[in-house]
Amino acid sequence: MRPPIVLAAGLALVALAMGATMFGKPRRLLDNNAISNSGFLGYAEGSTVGCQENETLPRGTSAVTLFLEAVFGPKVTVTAQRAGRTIARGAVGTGWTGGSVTIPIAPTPRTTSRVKVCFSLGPGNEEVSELGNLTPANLALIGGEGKRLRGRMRIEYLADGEKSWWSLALQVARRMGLGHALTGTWVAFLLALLMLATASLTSWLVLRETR
Amino acid sequence: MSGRRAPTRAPKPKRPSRARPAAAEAPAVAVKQRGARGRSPRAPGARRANIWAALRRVPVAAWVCALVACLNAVCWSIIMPPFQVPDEQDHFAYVQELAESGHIPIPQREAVYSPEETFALQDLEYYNLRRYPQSHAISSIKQQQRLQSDLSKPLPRRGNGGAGVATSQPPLYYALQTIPYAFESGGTILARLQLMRLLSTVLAGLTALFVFLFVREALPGAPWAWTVGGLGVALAPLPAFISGGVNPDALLYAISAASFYCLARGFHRGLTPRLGAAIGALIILGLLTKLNFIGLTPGIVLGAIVLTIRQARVSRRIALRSFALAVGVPAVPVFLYVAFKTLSGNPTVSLASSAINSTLHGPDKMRELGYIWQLYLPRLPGMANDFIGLFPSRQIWFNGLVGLYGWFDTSFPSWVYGAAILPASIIAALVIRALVVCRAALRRRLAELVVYLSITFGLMLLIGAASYVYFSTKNSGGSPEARYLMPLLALWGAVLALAARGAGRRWEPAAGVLIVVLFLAHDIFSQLLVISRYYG
Repeated sequence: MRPPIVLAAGLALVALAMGATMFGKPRRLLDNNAISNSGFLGYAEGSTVGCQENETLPRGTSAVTLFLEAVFGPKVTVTAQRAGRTIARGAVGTGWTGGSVTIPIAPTPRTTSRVKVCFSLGPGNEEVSELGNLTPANLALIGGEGKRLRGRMRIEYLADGEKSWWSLALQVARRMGLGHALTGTWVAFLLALLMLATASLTSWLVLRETR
Repeated sequence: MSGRRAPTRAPKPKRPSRARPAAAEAPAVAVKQRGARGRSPRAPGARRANIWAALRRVPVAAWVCALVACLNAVCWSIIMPPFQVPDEQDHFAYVQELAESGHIPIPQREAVYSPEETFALQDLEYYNLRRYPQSHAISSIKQQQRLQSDLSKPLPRRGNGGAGVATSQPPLYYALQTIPYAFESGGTILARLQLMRLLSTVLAGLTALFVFLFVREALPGAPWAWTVGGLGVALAPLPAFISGGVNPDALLYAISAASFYCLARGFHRGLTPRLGAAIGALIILGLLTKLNFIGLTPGIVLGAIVLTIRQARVSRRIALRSFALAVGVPAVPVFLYVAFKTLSGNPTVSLASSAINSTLHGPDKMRELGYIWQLYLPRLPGMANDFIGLFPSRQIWFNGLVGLYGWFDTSFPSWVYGAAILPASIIAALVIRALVVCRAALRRRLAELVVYLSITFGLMLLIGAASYVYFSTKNSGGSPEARYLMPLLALWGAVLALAARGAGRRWEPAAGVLIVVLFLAHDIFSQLLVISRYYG
């Protein structure tokens, strides 16, 4: 196959994939449990479980973010229970990293209060930090062996997005012009131009060298 | 190797031909020619002309690869919010301390940044953003106004003299960065940071240039593959992400790539005193840039020894002189530096020495070796499981190379990492095929291969040992990152070039184009991922 055709087909495919990706809708924050992420509550290590009572699971929740911190996090399984009955369940595999982990669940049909959100970690040998804020003991997160921790973990409830990246593009471009040395929406266009120049130079070189 | 016509422009008359003798047989002739030429003109004008002539001999394709890498890193420098490249706030503090006081940072229990940097970090919501992927960069005019108002104040530019994790690093990169810092000293901290980032992007260009030149020396019969290797590295998102920030890794990558190039040149054309001096200078520069270069040094020294032995068959005098320049000259300042730092109790060498010490004299060497083994390879029976539930080769190294940006908080959806196994496997299969086809040439160049492998091994061992220090104190998987392997970018370029060649003479151009397009796509989607994470 001739290299120019391969290059043209490859670039067209990349452009198509980009266009298709832009139709994706980013998740949006529905609600949180009003606990700030301002403190360290404790460590979870190995295979362990934790539960937090009196959570409210909003209607349409399709993912739950738990404020757990790890370098290479273990598998996390989350369940939401109401009166002993599991109303939502999800899991994320090993290797997540950062100060929070988002676990997809099947979208919830209605808002449910007095929910017990439980998570199980492991297997693993990394210490996972539980993050949230200090609260009275009766409200606190229940860790492994049923012990109450120092406070309550922050939990966020996310829903599937309503707006595509296409419709958010201008907003994203505007935000890219904030908090940098270069300010203004034009920064996004400069970036697009630079990337276009990179792709054009690459294509030119490829064509030149395969001539 | 292939004798296909070189597409990188046919050599003009009177210029040295790009066609070279086969690697193993060439050194003797080549050294005599170069030795004679190296001694001739001493006048500054002639030397300048020599430098220009040498630069003109660099193929246009290599310069374009460098430009692509530079542009790519510039894109990343614009995309990444200030201080969201790993440890950038500490590296900036190091440069600021050096530029403002003229001294390198001193170890502190906790680094207190300058009020100027502290205000910037606060106003940029750095602590809310870092490691929390659901948080976004500042997005309102009000936040922007507060930032601009604070940054326009004449805030003090000195903290308590510490620079966090950067304190223990050698000063070369930071000393270089004081130039853009001083150039924009009247501007805001963000303007200085951006200018410093731009210097790093130039280093990304240098890295791609040296990778191209390395592949050209290592695979002299495959001109199209040089471009594939050079562009593959120029478009790789991870090195561009790091080189788009203020991070000494950017210079480390360039120096490592240059070291590989010099060694390959030595294996291909023979060791000359000039090349020996270049290798020696690179060892010094590498050790002055980042401690991780210690891992590469034994392999580079081994390379110099092998080259010396080969050169001694032709001229013992030239061989010894070259060796003295390559190894003896850097050994003296390195020894003096280490002795001084050790005696003065400065931690500059303590991190590396603690890693080396724990490996050599630790209470449980077998346990540590087991840990290092598991960091890269599947666990063997009898080894303690240090990565329960994890397969580091996949989750740390492979996934890290596919995409983990920001403060390791920006990742693709998990299916992307699974899907990436397919192109990675195809590339691996093509490389294996190329190696099988070229096995005769490989046998002839075994010594060269051993040198490259020993450099790789040395770096991996250092990363593993340093990670074990963390692991043994924190009892977690350690803190290795895929970027630590980026000093091996030159080998990565050669792997991509081999993959193109592995497709066979007929399909080589198409395979090369596909590899380049794959990396371009990887880069574009990585940038989109980061944009969506910070500005979505």
